[in-house]
Amino acid sequence: MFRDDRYGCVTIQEVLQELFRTQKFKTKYPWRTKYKSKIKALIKSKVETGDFNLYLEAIRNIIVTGKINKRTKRFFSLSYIDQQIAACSIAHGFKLTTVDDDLADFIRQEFSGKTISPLGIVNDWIKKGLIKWDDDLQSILEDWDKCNEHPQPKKEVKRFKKITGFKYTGP
Amino acid sequence: MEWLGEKIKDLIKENNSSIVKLAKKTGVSRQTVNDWIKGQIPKGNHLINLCKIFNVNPDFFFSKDFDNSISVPVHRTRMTAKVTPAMQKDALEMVRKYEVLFKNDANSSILPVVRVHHRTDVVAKKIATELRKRAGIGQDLPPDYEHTFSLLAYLGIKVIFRHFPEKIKAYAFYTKIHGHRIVFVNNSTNIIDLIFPVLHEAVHAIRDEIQTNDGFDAEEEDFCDKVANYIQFPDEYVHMVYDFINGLSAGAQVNKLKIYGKTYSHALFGIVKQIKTIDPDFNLKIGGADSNFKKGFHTIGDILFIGDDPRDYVAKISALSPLFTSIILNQIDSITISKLGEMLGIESVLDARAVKDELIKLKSMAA
Repeated sequence: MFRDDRYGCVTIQEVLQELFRTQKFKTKYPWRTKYKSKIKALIKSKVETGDFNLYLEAIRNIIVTGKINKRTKRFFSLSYIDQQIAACSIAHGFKLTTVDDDLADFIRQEFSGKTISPLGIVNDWIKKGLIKWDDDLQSILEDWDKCNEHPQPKKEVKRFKKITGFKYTGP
Repeated sequence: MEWLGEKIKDLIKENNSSIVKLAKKTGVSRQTVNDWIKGQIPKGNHLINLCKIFNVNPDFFFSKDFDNSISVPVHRTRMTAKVTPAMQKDALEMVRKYEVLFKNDANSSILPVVRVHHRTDVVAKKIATELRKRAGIGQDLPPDYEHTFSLLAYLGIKVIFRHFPEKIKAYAFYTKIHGHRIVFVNNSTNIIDLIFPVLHEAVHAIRDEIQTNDGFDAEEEDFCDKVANYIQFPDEYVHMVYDFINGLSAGAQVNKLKIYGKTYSHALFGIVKQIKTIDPDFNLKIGGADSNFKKGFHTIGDILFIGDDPRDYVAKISALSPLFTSIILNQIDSITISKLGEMLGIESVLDARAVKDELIKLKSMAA
């Protein structure tokens, strides 16, 4: 899905490296090997086009100086990779998908950036006819639940039921 | 680092503009621009607008001077390595990753501070005895690493275990971040080599006296060494070992010292150094034997990550570093997975997501 533009997914090199260099992921996510060839990170020159560096510098300064998250009332604390992801999504107008509320809060609060839930992405693929929902794919929803994934937005759950006719068994 | 809002005023003047015009261009009220000038950091997208309007980079609006929220981290190295500017820079960079975490945690606890008029041997021994007593290290024996870390917790010191970048040639170092006492511990340190430097840094923490520019005060270092030595090797233990090995052949002495070292978690070098204080003629050479002896022990990183199990790891850090773990737990809901991995230094070893889940479980159990 990262190699086929129709799926509309991108990621950065740092995320890819994290996924494949962590030893523990080998057993926890056996599918990672299967999908390795399908995941492709944006090349550096592509990421760093436009205003990427401007956004990254702004984000770094804001984080270091200290900005309060209005929801948690705590200072935002983003890692170097979080900052790269945030800069990439805002600079290139990508919607961000993340399980980290603090990262999502940051791009929404500071940059009016847009986020999308994993189920929202799946729904879009189904809607575009890129995937056909079946029992095999349905089992992924149960995996999400087992892996303690975030509850998906009600709006997307409703949309999922409507477009697939399947019962929603995920979080 | 701080926001320099008044620079907006200078830019307005240089560009023959006005607050009203700038407000209009950035799509905010005049009051908002005034708030920025007075010190409120703009929202990210407004900051970008300001940069584009005035053709400057975001760095332009922020001072590069770091305040005194972080004290000089590394001022002492392992063995003969020298403290270099590159080492200081890397250490500071590593420490800064924790700045927001400690800034978010108001530190209002009362912590012990040791003030002395004369940094003598007698005073060092007295402090060591008191600290041993308070940490519950009984029987005049050397503390193991678990006792050592419980002493640090008693002293209000947060311990952060992580892998140090290659340039930071230290087993451990003490620093203060937003008033919190922190000892960073290098995961690649052999457990036998770790106890003394950790105690040394703990003494620095309660002395609370790093005031020189580079943080190095030879007399203070010597004093911290003495206290740490007396905590690790109380007189009674040194005498007991000495009495036991005195008169034996060199080989037998080394073998007996190995038994003591293994039983009480200390290097041969450390005890020999202490024996020399009661018998200056004691001249046992243990260089090679000590290195071989240490090979039989794990690093602290090995101990933390045995089995690569997030649950075990969380159990270990919460036992060895309860205060740091407690701060993490307090903020766990607002720490991103990637940031958690970065702060715990586990990125390439454990799945930070699984560790976060374990910490959340721990938090709910504690509640």
